[in-house]
Amino acid sequence: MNDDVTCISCPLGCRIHVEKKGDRITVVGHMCKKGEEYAIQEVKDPRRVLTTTVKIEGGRQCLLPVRSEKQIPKDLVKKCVIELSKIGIKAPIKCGDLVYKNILETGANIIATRDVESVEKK
Amino acid sequence: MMKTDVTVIGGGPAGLAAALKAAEKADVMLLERNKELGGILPQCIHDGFGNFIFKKMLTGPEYAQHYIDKIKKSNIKVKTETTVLEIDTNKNIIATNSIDGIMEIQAESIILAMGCRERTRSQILVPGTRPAGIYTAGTAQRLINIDGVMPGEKIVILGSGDVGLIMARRFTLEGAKVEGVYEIMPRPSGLTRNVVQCLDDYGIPLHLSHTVTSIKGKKRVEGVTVTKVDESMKPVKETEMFIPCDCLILAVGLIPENELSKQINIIMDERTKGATVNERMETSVPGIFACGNVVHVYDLVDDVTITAEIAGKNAAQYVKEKPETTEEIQVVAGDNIGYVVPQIINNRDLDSVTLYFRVQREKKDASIVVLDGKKQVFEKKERIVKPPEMIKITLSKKTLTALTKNELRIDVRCRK
Ligand SMILES: Cc1cc2nc3c(=O)[nH]c(=O)nc-3n(C[C@H](O)[C@H](O)[C@H](O)COP(=O)(O)OP(=O)(O)OC[C@H]3O[C@@H](n4cnc5c(N)ncnc54)[C@H](O)[C@@H]3O)c2cc1C
Ligand code: SF4
Repeated sequence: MNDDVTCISCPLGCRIHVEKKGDRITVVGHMCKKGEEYAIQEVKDPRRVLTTTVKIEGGRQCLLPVRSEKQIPKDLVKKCVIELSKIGIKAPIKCGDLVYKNILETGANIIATRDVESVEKK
Repeated sequence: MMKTDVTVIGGGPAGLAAALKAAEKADVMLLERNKELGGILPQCIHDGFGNFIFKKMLTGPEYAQHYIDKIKKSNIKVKTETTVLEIDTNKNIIATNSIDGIMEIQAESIILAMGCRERTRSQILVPGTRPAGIYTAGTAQRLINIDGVMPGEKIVILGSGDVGLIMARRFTLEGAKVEGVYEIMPRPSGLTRNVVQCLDDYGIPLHLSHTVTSIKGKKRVEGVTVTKVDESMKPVKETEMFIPCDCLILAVGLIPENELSKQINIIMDERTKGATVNERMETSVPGIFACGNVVHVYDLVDDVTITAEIAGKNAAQYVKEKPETTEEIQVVAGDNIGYVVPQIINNRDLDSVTLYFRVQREKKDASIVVLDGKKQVFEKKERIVKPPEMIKITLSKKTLTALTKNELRIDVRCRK
């Protein structure tokens, strides 16, 4: 298998060529170790951090921004976003609070990325 | 009339960091036009912030939250929903909000941290009608991420600035179809990593050397005509193509927000479109400092925070004792350099000075050199330099003390 990936680990954006023969993987075009690791991960199992918003009730705003605590498989990002569009939570929320546990069995938790205070009832 | 030592105008990452630093030594008031603090960060829900300062990739809201929490614990006087209307060289400030009405504030020192705004259609002149459905990328970002409103379903993005790239991904994840990103230049204007993560990951096409030549639709956008451009950026008529869409997003760049700076004739830099500053981040008006995107548009918020802290520290210092300007070294943008910030060094008795700049053309095997007259005093090798990526170099105390001329020039050369 042959693959070209662009390293996103630093602004240089090296084009890296990855060749896979059986278990042997060879990488060319990277300029540093980080790039090699990235390229191998990227052809084996590309992962990304997921960021989106979920609906929040009783808060000073209607949306709560969230992210996955760690990277999840790239192919599952869209599915997870759809899953998260179905849920709603209640204010108040603190930055870092757990919003959704182990999303789609990826082993990653979804956490809040800001505080949302509740609107005081008058 | 209210009195403070230091007044900070703008509560984005620049204003927050500057206010916190200044508050270590002085009385500080922070004025922000929006309901909440954080500037554009609350709407930048993607990750990629703080890699340098926090050594991890945070989202915009998380990065802002860190500083907002600190502000809450400080004794800084914060006024939100307060817009500054006027400033003068005596550091009188006129601001307004719905509770206090018009208020006057007398400060010893002012820090300008108003950020930047997006270029709009009138500045890039797309002809055609003016139907609904045309937004700048930042406005679309706010609508989707804060207000929960989708601006459209079939999207065309004009310009490949970072905000546009990030919005291409956001639109796609929210179920809209992004037909393509059209960039008039032969290369993307945003960072490579954003082209990869936001477009390539989702199979969104990037059309370089293309532009939108007209917009169709009376009430609502019905489509746009896109055209290839030749080397002199002229549209090639035969390549015209009509793309049906209900939304056109403009991601054609940012410019510093300097209406206030212009009121007091602060010396501006034609190239950055921001105020010229010295190594203390002080403008040409003594005691008025500037930091963040109001000075020049930064790629990374980390650099905004670092330079804002310099402004904050020196503004508080200015309140205690006005420093004497001992000399004036002009920092000159030489070969293949668009601009350099700071533009002036007034006092080189410092541990170090960091210079920020952008190149004009991409170069492989580049060498960044700093010249004191004809003498080379600094060199840094880079494998590649690109216009979208800001470069910084730090001159050490040793280099600074050895300077003899009142002009320091930076060149980017080719090593081969
Ligand atoms: C879409 C997008 C994506 C980005 N992605 C990244 C990224 O991945 N990583 C990264 O490190 N950086 C990123 N950045 C850059 C970073 O967000 C900016 O560099 C940073 O926010 C600039 O901070 P600032 O405080 O100078 O300006 P701003 O955040 O714009 O804040 C300026 C504040 O001043 C207020 N103001 C203006 N005029 C007045 C007035 N007259 N009176 C009172 N208040 C006023 C405004 O309301 C605003 O709140 C991104 C930027 C954008 C737009
Ligand atoms: S391989 Fe190394 S030098 Fe090249 S882009 Fe990746 S991190 Fe940067």
